[in-house]
Amino acid sequence: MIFISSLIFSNSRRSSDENLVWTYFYKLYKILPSERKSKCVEIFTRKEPSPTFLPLKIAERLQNIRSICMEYLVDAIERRKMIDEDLHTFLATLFIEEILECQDLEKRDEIRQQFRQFMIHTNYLKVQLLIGKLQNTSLRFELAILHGKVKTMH
Amino acid sequence: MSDLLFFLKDLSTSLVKLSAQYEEETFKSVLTRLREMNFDMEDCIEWLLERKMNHNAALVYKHMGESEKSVNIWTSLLENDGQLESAIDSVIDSLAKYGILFSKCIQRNY
Repeated sequence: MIFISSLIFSNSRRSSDENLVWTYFYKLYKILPSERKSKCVEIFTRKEPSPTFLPLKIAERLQNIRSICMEYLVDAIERRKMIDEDLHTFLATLFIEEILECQDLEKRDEIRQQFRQFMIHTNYLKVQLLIGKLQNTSLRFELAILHGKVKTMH
Repeated sequence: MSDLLFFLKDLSTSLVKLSAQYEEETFKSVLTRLREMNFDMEDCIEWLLERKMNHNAALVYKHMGESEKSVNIWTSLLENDGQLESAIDSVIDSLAKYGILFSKCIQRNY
């Protein structure tokens, strides 16, 4: 009985911790001037992974603010050296979306360069899924890198 | 600071208020021992807020484990001035650490 009630308490406490962090993250993001908004990502990059704040779960909730989500994933992969295939593929997907939506040619080339570097250096991508996403786009060079990865895998 | 001071409620309440107003270094040192002190927290908070020392009031809440109340004060400050560096850093620091102690308890199956 004590175990069950402490478990219920644990779950409700975890959920309230989680809600509080997300509520104030969105509040802070809304308040800060546009040039400072990216600072909000530190709430999650400085947080130690825990059952309440799993990296993939954080990334999924951040995806509606793509720039913040990308910064979070880059930190998780480059600084924390996380080798989760889901996280690496998630970042690759966001790179593709960002490139396809970017109107500024100079910036677009810069992001493409970062994306290529990322693809060349990681071995944790769901390659077939990404090939599917790039199939009908103009990103032929990136597609070639992925096909190259398929060949080295076999 | 005499340890005796920490157990006399009126004196320690005054120590928190006055150090917050006049002695930044003493206030920082008081904050680290706040949980050992027998002081009137709500009285201190009210006093600090009346004198527009919202940041210090938030610090008192934070060191007493009332994270939500402290973050709430800092975000209110930021609503008036979005560039307030100390408030931005404090909110981020509190939220980054929030839930960690509790998660460790879960991992140890408490």
